[in-house]
Amino acid sequence: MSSSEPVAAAAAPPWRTAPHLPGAFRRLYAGEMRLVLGRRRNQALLGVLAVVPLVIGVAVRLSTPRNGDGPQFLSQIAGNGLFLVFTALTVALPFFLPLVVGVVAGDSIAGEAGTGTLRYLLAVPVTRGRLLAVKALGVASCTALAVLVVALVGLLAGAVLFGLHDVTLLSGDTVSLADGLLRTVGVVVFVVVALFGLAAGGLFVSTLTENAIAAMATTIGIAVFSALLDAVPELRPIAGALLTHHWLGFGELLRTAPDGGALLRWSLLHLAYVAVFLSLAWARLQTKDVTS
Amino acid sequence: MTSAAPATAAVPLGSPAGAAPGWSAVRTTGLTRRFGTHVAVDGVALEVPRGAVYGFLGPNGSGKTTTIRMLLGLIAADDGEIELLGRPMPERLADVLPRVGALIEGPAFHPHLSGASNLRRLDVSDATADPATSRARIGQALTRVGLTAAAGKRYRSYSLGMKQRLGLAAALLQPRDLLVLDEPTNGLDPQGTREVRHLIRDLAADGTTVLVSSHLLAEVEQVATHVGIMSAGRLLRQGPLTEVLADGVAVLRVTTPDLDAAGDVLGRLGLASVRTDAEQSCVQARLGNVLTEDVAAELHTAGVRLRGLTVERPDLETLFVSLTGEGFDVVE
Amino acid sequence: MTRTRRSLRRGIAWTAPLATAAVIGVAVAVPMAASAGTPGLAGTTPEALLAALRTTDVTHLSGQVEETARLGLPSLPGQDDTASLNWQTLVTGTHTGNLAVDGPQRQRLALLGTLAESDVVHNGSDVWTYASSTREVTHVVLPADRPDGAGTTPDPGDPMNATPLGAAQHLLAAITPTTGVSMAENTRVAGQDAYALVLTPEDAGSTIGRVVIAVDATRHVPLRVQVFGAGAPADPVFETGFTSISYDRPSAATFDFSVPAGATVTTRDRSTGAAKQPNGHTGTPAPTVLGSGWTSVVEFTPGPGALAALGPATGAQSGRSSTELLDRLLTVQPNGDRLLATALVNVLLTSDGRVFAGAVQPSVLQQASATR
Repeated sequence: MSSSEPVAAAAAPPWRTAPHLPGAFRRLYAGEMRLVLGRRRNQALLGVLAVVPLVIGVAVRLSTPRNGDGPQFLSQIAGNGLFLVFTALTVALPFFLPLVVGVVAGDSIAGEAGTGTLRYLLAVPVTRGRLLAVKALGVASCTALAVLVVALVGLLAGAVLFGLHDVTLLSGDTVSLADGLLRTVGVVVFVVVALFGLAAGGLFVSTLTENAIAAMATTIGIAVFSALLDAVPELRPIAGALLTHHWLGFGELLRTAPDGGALLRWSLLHLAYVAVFLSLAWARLQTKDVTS
Repeated sequence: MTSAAPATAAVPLGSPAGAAPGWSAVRTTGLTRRFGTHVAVDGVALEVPRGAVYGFLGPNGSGKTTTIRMLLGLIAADDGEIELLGRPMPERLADVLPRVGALIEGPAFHPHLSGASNLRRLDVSDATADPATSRARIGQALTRVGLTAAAGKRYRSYSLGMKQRLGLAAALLQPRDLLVLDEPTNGLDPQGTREVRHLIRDLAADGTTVLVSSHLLAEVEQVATHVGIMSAGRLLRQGPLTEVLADGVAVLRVTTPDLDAAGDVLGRLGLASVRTDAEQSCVQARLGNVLTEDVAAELHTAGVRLRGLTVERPDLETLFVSLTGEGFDVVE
Repeated sequence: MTRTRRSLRRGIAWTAPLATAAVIGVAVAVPMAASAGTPGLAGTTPEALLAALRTTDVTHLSGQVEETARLGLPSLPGQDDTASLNWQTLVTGTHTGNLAVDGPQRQRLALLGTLAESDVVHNGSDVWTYASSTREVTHVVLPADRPDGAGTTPDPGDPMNATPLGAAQHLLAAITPTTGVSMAENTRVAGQDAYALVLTPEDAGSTIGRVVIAVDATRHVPLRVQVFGAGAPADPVFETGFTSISYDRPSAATFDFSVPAGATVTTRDRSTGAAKQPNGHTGTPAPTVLGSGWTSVVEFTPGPGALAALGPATGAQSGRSSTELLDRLLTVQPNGDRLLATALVNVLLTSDGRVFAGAVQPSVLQQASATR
């Protein structure tokens, strides 16, 4: 049966589209995680995060700090190892955690563009939407991992050095250890979601350049800049909308009656940052000319 | 190009051009891309028939790489249409590219991973690749480019030639219908260059269409069945190698003691630039559209005694230089 | 310039982040718009509202309170939210607290800081304070016959004054026959429709220009108190209001307080004493209130080190720094007295060590010190 239609329509090539195999995205994600976690630099950064609670724990063990000294909760560690988790998170949040998030997120796409592997990934093909999805998931996983490293090492070190006991909340009330551990899980989840905002920002920055170092520095710069703005009294009215303003809001979980509405609002703010940055990253990646 | 293939025809992929004339391995129309005011690619209409080894030639900056990147969906076109394996790009990118292997502007891999790990990363990224056979695919690809021994070494420690081979291995991870190779012999020694040439011939023999860009014309001439010549963003000439070469300015040289008679015959036949060289006792002229056998017959009829009759066709390089505008005169 | 396909695609792609931002903007703006506006309420007279305010039958509630003071004091050390919160910090900046009230005998106010909290819990004859950053507990035992503290001298340092309930109570007490009482446009506070009652002192000695009290339209609870300076600035110099409120009875456990492990406890037993003094500094005599109405002045003689308490304190070393700051803020009067002038409250420190303070013009303080 021969047709007289125009070329393009009539000459449909007789090959069939190869189907996507089940688990393809999972394999792509696993490959991404192998790549990121296999990198010595990233392993070293996670090591630095693990050192934070260890140093604090050992220091407290060697010299008992007085009330009101040093970072929050410090004086409570000696009485309850669980507070090492909160102290370590408080210490790591302003710089160490943004550093790790900035390096991983900033490197995610800019790094591939810089080494040229981006063009080969896209030619495999990994479509751009899929690439962004797997990169976002990878960065999110690393963010969660970074927080977990601090929290778990803090918990272990705290338990070994000081033991775990019932928890005195900020309000002065005391709750059971089980309740305290549950709140700790909430704290970790809150901090992870809070850092997602920065991670998504890093992902967007990473689509803008082929220079991974610049993307990392810019991402860390976003966190530092936001913290600086937060400290300007004249900007008080908008401070609540800043990326980093509510990072320490996990303290809400350590009150007798946590304000669930506030925790939800702050988390939604962080997720709003994620949505904006991810859509920016998507638009940028879709329209980006890959010339490297 | 208006004949249509029956929709049900089970044409084996990569069968020689003409079996299913409706679609080609690569076809573009009016492909254009500007960077600011600079027109990098200007209305290019590529036509790479299936099964061809297409030499894509042009000096640096002529728009070859931008064209190749547009074919693979890495750069967006301002205008024009692209069809790869008969499907529109970049709309059908996800369907088309698994069948296309590519080496784009040199190899690029993660330096901290081994060659095999780098291939593994690309293989797991391919949603159509069966994970069960991943190891075998990687092994075969490495064997094919002779990198088996260095598979476990970090990419960082590879020589330029090894890197290039790994790039080829990545392009060969899957059986491909189309290979796009941008400067595949860059950094290879003569032995490696020869191996790549064999590889391309083998692939072509298997039915794979190969689009190979290069500035090493002599090398392309040895493997290409078709060529396209780019300059300043435009595709100046393309087609089967023999035709393109035939288009070139061939020079006829008649060695004879009867110089004047020979000159008359050539002039009568309309050959241009007839020039007599008494010292060498020969007459030479541009052959143009006149057939060599007609010239021979006319010379014979005119009683010109021939000592020799040669036609010197320009090689690809000569043609290339003449096309790309660098002053060149075949008749000295 | 003709639009190429590429620029068209580019434009389409970039609408995605715009749309995302727009959706978020709408999600933020719609609830804000819904909570704004002036509710239409049945008309009422200022006098009726004033009466309703004084006779409200609401005995229990809980909610979040935001307090802002713009007294013109410079930003002092200890403003960092992560630092310890003391009641004295309430004189500058914005602070948030959780308030729970169940009758006159049970209240809890938690001043919220980032990773910090200061609580005052009143339950029967016990008043506990707890500061998370220093883990210091004070325990005041009130006279058994007056567990609501009624009849004791008003204490300017009582943090309850920073809540709309406490502030409104004080301001209503100051109303004199010459005070102008009127209504302003209805408003919404903490999701509740509210009338706005305006008090105008009309007393030259007062630093207060006018006071606006937002009164819950159905329950007649003061939801917000705004104090505007005599110079009639656009922003209130002092403002405290609920940002959320619930009229459910707080759970009884809210008012339970047990001393946490590792805290240092200071106990002051006033069960037999005459005066309640929650901010009591050891050896400090009780303050005396001179005059009445808008121009009332508090006189007290501070104990050693108490000056530091006038400024915000942040742990151990802050006493020194706030004293230094205080020294800079003080202006020396011709007679050797020193004056601390703010947009609302003026404080006179006489050369013989007495302190006069009030929301009054400095001349009123001078007069008060001269007559004593």
